[in-house]
Amino acid sequence: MKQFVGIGYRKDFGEEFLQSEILQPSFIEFAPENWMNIGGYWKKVLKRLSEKYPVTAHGLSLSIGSPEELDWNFLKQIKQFLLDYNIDVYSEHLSYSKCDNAHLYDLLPIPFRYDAVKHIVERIKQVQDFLERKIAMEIVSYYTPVAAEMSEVEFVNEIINGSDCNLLLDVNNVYVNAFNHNYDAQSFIDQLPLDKVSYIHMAGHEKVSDDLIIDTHGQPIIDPVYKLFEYTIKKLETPVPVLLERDFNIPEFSELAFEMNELERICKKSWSLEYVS
Amino acid sequence: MYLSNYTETQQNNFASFCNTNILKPIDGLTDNRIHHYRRLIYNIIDDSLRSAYPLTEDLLQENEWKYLVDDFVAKHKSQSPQIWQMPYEFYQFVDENEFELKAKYPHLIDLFLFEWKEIELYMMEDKNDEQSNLSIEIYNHSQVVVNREYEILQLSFPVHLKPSNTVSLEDKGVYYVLMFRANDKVQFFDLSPFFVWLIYKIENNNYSIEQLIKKSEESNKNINCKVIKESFLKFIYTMHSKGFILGFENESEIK
Ligand SMILES: [Fe+2]
Repeated sequence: MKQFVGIGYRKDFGEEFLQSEILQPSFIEFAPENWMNIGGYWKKVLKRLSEKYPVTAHGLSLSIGSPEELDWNFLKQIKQFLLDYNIDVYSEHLSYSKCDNAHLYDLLPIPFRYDAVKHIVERIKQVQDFLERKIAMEIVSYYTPVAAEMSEVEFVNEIINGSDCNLLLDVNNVYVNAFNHNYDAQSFIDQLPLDKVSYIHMAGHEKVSDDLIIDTHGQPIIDPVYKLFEYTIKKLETPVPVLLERDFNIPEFSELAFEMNELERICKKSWSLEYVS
Repeated sequence: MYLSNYTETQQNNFASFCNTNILKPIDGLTDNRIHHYRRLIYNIIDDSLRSAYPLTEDLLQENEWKYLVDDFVAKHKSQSPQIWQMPYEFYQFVDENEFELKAKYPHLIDLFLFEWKEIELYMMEDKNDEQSNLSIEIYNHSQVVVNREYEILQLSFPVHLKPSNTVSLEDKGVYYVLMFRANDKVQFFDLSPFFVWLIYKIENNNYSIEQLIKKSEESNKNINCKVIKESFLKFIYTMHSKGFILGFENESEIK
């Protein structure tokens, strides 16, 4: 069993995931929206998974950055889901996926603006109160800014500190954003509230042109992202769970195991000596 | 509300471009990037619809399918936060609009319904209680216990019986399809009106097997009693083996 590294569970992994011995994740992550309000075969699989592994939840449709009201009925269902599968850690995205009363099923970029910060801080607090826990918010990949009046890193800091939530640091997203918007990934990381990082995501991406990377989660992690990961975790005060995300182009378990082993190796190198009790 | 009208408008215009491909003013965009959002969102929705409706996708020509998805993405406001439920809204959208295509393919809506119900039944929350005292033996006094995870569809075209590209107006009629989830699978059976009636009687009354046979005979006076009893029992045995009938409650065992 791994000590630090988990994996996002996908339907494509099927029941085989339960029998496979080669991944040995330290935990698994569910997207509640794919699994709430269901029964039958998949509910049984999920139950068995949650009996075998610790589970975290990573949401898709909360839409914290939406202009419109939070969907309380949806949040009620999230809360029930967390209860049903005995989940403590719930994370979401600093983005919006619902607008003008319509779900878009993807993560849109929030304008980096002071009024948006206030709006989102307030909403994160409401969600945390309702779910009776701190949540972790993820910096998402984005391909264009929208009406920005502050920098991205300032925007993130204001929100995380203002709402007293945790930060889900997706190292691949930072790499993608640094590439797409021409800034230095390491110095971006340096400026984050690293004491608030409670969770890390790692994934692959796809370079679609000379100046644009799309965050597909459909490729293996590339070396510069491993390097940025190592750089990042050395700066953290305590170890945090590290998750491998793979949503498309799902390869053999052995290929995923290779990536997870690599992440685990880096974690152990950076963390174990200092944190062995 | 902390959000200014300006920021809200920027966000609305961004989202509306993703749906409609019409660009209203948005400040500070990097050139040639916003269309990636539209492409990604469109593909997510299209993929999800194609995997929900493989038979419908097959029936329609590619340009017809694309027209439907374009129209849906542009005009419909998806309500479900769960993307696997979004295809239901697509079927509803086509049902309420798209008159030309429905005229060309009169069985289009039946096909949507048939494909959607398979997903819905497969995913639906569990409805059966734990039944530990059910018998597999049938006696005259037994009561039939039905699997509650079922639905009976009424269709105008036999989309469940024939390849959908061979269904024509000549096939128009009344068809009943029993769909249920058992052993982790969704199964379907074409039903005659008699069996629809029978399932209704089983579900809504506590009739014993003996009473059900009697009722069946009474409502089919022009058919030979032996034939009715035989087809009744054959139905019960088949549906028990398929998992639509969970078992039988026998009073003697309950006591
Ligand atoms: Fe992520």
